[in-house]
Amino acid sequence: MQITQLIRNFIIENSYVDLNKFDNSALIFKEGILDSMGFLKLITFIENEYDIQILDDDMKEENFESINAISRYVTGRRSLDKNCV
Amino acid sequence: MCGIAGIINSPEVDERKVIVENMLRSISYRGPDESGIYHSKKATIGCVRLSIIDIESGKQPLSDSSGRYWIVYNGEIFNYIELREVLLGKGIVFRTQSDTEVIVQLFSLYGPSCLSMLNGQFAIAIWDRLKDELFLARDRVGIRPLFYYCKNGSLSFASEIKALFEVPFISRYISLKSLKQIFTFWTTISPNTAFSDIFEIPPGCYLKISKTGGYKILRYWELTYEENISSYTLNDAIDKFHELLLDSVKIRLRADVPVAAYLSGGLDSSTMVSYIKEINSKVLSTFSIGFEENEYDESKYQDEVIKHFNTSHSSIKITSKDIVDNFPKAVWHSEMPILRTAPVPMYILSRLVNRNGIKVVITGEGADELLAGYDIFKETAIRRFWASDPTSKFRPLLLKRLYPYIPYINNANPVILKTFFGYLLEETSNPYYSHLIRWNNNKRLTNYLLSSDLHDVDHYDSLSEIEKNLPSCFHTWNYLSKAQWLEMSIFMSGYLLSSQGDRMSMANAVEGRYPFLDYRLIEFCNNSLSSDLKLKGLNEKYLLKKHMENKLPSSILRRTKQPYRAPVSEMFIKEGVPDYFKFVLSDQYIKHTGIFNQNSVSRFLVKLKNAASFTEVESMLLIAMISTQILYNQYIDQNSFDSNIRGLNNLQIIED
Repeated sequence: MQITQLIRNFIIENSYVDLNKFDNSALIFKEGILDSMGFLKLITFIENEYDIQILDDDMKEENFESINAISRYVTGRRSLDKNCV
Repeated sequence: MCGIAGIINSPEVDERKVIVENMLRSISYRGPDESGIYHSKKATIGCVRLSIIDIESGKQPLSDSSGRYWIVYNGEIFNYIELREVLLGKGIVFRTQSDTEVIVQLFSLYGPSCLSMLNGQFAIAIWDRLKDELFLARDRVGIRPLFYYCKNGSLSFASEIKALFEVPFISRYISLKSLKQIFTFWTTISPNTAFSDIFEIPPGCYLKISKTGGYKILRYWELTYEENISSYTLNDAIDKFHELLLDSVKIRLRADVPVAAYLSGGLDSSTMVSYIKEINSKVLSTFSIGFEENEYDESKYQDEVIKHFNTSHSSIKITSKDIVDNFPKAVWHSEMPILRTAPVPMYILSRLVNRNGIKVVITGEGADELLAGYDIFKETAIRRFWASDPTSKFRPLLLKRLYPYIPYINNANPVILKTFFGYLLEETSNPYYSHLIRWNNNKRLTNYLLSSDLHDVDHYDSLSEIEKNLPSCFHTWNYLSKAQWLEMSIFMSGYLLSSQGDRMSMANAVEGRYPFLDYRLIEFCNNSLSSDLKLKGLNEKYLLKKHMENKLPSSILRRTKQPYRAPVSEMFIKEGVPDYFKFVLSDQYIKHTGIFNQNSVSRFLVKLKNAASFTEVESMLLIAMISTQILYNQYIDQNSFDSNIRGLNNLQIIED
């Protein structure tokens, strides 16, 4: 499944907000789509699902602020990891 | 100490006597010793008494020497002895040794301005039979409750809302605006209650209703802080604090029955025990609760204090099952949805006290509010520090020191800390800055769960209720004073002293006394202590810790603040939970009350059942939801307990 869709599904499952109102560029934390606990669960989900370790240095707002941003980050990390093998 | 109730200006005179009897019956657990009613053409007022001062002759209702004013009241006036002396000097002749008579005599001389002379905790009702006027008053911080309903010139009042519902013409509705407040602020904002058209006299206020039925509410005392706090040095502050606290404890030991103390093992209750022993060296009875779960248990510290002061201690170990079993009863007594299970152990504790034959306990509430003991104060200090350099990676790390017992915060990096604590980080000029995170967390989940059918509450902003109550000089105070005011007037008065305090102890006829809430001490701490004597960096209650340095075991002084929390929520939806809980959370009953959105609730419950653990907010909302459903079942559907309601003992009726 496309990364974007998978992440969107995960957020729908864990959010207390009606996600139909939001597109993939919506700001997750500013709009209150996920709270802090939801964010932690998201990190864990991404690490497990894509078998990557999210580095401290990567913990920047721009990498996680929207579904599109997260998707970009994950895609980038996966191709990076592939190249390193 | 008692329960009071009354109705004035209602047409059916004979019926009124019966109704007031029923009102008193419904709260007779507050006053098991004796009861009395004053009944006249215009007014019927009554009291169920827990006899503590002047057991023999301090019966209520009581009049002043002219017979014009009649009083029923719940509480104690601790400086009654000194006030009595003043009145004796003015030639007043007393018929009893009670504090009750002191109040009504003072009122006959000074009217409402007598309230400023009273040092105590009280809910007072005085009927003026000459002018056909009723006077209702409540103590400065809301230790004792007083509710009323007023329509068409007729007013009914009572210590608890369940008594008001004994009045046939008072209808029962849960207020949805109130629910929104409760879910956000953990309590309604005064004068609101959980029920429509039922209000409380706000702390520090009194009400006067005239024979025409017109009434007004006036304030005699306000919780306030100085703009420029006159700075005592640490040592001078300690001396003054000690002087005030010593006298506060001394006068609160006045009783014709034994006085015991609650002992949690924390700094505040240990301080109380220390002071009591300093004043009275005879053996002190102390009481505490222990929890099955280690995370919440403080027994180790309690044992140290018990040993240090050689108290005669009784304790009860509470299991999750105890909490579940006693939860509905606690809700019934609290008369408001609750967001945590903390009141339940307090209910069980007061039952233990009662079974040991004790009527009065000294307890340490108030110190955290006065001396910045809570984490929320530290949190706001750090946020402000962080806000002055928002991109700093290091400033937010201070937040980890606040919550060493929460792993996901301890292991968090700045981005994660920002999602937790960065909400509106830079809005430092917002008057509610200190409480924004807490309120926002609750609000989001509340909006999700509450039924969207509730149109009139959709756009209701509960913050507007607080704005109405903000003192005019609020904006001139420093940030810590603002945070303290919010915590004290909303959380302490509205929840801690009521749902977790008076309601839980009086359910078992136990009167709590709060030395830290002596108004002289409150005024001193608010107006004379600079912030760093309260919160020195991140060292909370600095002054109290320095003061008690050589008086308490060092382990008590060194303890990190362990907020009193009670074990929680998972057990309410586990397999094997009593049917009653399954029933109140069932689709059918959710639909019946119409308060919660059925789909949201289903999804929420499924999510929780599959979760390894709940977040703090999820726990709170689950308990809020369960207690709201239970409250509806008990009060609206009237499926409640009769077991606790006794007859009226030694009922004395005074007909006028």
